[in-house]
Amino acid sequence: MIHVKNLTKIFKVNIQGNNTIEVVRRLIFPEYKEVVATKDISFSINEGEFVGYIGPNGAGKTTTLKILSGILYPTHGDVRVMGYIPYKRETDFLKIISFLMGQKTQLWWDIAAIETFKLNKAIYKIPDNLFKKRVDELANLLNVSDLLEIPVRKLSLGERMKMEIISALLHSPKILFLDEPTLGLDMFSQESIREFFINYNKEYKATIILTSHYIHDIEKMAKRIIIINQGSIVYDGDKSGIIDKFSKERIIRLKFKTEVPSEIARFGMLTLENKNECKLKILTKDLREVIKHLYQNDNIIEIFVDEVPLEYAIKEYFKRDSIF
Amino acid sequence: MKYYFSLIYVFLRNSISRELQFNFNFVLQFAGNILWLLFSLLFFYIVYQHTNSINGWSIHQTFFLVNLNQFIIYIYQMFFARNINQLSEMVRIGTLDNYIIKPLDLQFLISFRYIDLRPLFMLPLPLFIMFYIIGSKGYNFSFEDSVLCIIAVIAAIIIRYSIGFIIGSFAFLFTRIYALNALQNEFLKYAGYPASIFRGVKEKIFTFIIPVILIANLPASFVLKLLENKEVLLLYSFFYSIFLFFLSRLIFYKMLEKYTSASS
Amino acid sequence: MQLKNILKETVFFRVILNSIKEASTYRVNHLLSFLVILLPLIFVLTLWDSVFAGKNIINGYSKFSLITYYILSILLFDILYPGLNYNISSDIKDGKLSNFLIKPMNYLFYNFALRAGINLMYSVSSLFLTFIFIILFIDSFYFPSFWGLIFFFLSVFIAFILSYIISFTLSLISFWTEEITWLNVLIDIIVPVATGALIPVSFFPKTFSRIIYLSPFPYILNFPIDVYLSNRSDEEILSGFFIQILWLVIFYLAGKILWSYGLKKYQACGG
Repeated sequence: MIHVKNLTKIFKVNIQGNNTIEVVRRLIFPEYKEVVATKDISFSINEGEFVGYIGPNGAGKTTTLKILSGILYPTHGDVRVMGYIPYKRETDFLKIISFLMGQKTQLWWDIAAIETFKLNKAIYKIPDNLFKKRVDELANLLNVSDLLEIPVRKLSLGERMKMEIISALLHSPKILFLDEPTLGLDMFSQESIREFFINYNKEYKATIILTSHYIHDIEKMAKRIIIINQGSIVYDGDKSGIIDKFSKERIIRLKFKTEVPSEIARFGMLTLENKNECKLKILTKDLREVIKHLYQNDNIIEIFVDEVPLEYAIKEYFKRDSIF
Repeated sequence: MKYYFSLIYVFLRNSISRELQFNFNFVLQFAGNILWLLFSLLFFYIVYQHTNSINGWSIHQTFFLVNLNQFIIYIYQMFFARNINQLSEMVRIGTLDNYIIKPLDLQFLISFRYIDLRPLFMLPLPLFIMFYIIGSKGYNFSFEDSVLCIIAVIAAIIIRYSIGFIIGSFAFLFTRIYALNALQNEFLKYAGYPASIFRGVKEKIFTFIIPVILIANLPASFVLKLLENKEVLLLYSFFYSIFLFFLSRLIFYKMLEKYTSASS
Repeated sequence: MQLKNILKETVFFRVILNSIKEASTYRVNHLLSFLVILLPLIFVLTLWDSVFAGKNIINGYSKFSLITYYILSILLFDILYPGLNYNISSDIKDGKLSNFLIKPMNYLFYNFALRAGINLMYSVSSLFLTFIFIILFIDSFYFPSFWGLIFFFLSVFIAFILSYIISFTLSLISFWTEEITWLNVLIDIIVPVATGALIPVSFFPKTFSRIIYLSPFPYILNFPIDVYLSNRSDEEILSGFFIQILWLVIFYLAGKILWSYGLKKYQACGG
């Protein structure tokens, strides 16, 4: 229900001068530089999917989200969300979406969070009982029920973020855009927020698109990952796919009945943990072969194929790409 | 002592490089200020359409007064206005902490931090008008008079600065009070009104307590020869300025103590 | 009961309420505002007192009407000031406007409600100050007829909306430039003069006052106060209302046009 076809977004950026002469010249004859944010990208997202949208800084992630939500309009290409054209900003469209921007708060600063909720209630025309139910429900899930009446400026960053989340979800949006929702939060807040969104996605079948710098966010929350780099999509698929695609090596932990046989070393790099335990580093492409062989060895009690952290896989990928 | 003067030089240099970035703004502020001065004069021109003298002050004397007041306003804007206004913001955002840890007298640091050069270019205008009036109307005053006038101006600047700093220090208590800044500026604007409009109680209040008359009327009177007991008033102004200055230090450091002992 | 509940549910009401709640956290600001207003009033009135020595009427204003004029001018100035709206320009500059774009609501009315809320707070303190000033200057204060008062409130109401629309439309310039200090400086100089806050516009030399009356500004402050003082004939009052509304429509249309062009630009590169 989200369809993006050949989306291209080009920004015209003003070039500023370095010294007074250039500044004056550019004032009269402005010069522009074209920055390509997204280059001909295409993808489709179905209802209820939880998609992680990642890439290095400036890759075009936030731009894509802004185009999907109607804040920006595309230079070329076709974008449809639930059948609507986002930048037209039709009321019915706006009522079903929500955009959580980590950095830009929508809460009123000096008064209690509940007052901002009441404002949203009026904006989205949420009926009284539904409103009360939502607020109670969400506040409970996020553990902020007794903080609703406290002025926002007195809350900690984590508590504020939770209020932002409640604020964004009051009108039960079908589509959620999350832009760096855990940025700057402490570990515990990050954990509870991740838990929250995972449950939310499961229970309400809301479509969630998430951008984040924290690999843990993506790892824990998203099932599908779209990687964008320098304006183009370089990967679109399941989480596990990247790991296989982009990490060259895997680590297998083996436990033997007796001592670790030295012949194991022919499969890859061997590190002894103790007498009968070892770690074997092999090339990913050899994984199936090696496992087949290992199973034939009677001496082996346990075989663990270590999860390569997503972070590692992605870092590896970007490391390679930059050499090009 | 030399140390502090050399610091003023550094502040000056920093201010210059910052100003080069805002040329367009500078021109506009300049034009804006000139327009404001012209309007102040227009205001009194209109008033004088309906009367020949304001309780003894002729139109030229009032013009002189307005320009002298404007001159003092420019000096204040050059050195202190922005720094004092930013005090409340520094407290609110927390940048004050960067200054507290410097090995310098804090009040000095805050007060002279930024020197706004734009008013410097505007100083010639009121000066020129003042000299023109003196010249064309043939005012006679001695060298002694002009020295006393200058002393009165210096005392006025110290008074203005001290009051400004006291009000600014309340930023420690009330961080988002815009009325504080407004209060200071209102006070100074009306220093350009001829003192002759005040009689009796009002005259005493605005001379000795809220010393508006001491700001521009007193120095002007040495040249225009209009106020009585000028020398006595000058003496008072001198001591009052010292008193207010030390009061500003007292209040500022008291507020600072409260600020640093409270947790953020 | 029904109507009350329906009204409570409007975005308008909610914004005004929140605005008031926020503004009331700054009570000391209001207390100090009293001093800020009182001091200039004393100076100006004392000045005119000297000028009026031995005269009865200047330019159509008696001493008492002029005193009343200044009192009203100072009380109404903050509420009716058509300056740049910093909420709007910082929303645009910092990209916070995006937050509003994704919500199904009207930005113009939202900001109006915001400003109305804040000014409702000021009005309360103004009302309080009005009582104090009336008592202080009871001998000189002018009390209008019943209809005079009605028309006065009507003209202030329209002036408030007019002032807001001008403020909104001017603030939209932030769509095209970050540098708005110059506009602010311009407004700070022109507005106090042209609205008649510092001196009634009719006091200016003929040519000046003719030019000023070509702008909407005198209709924001000078006109309502003149209505209060019954300084205008019935035809003048009627045409004054007409011109107020005319300027309102002009700036509203200009605002709509600027908004759609500005938004296009914002959606092209901002956010």
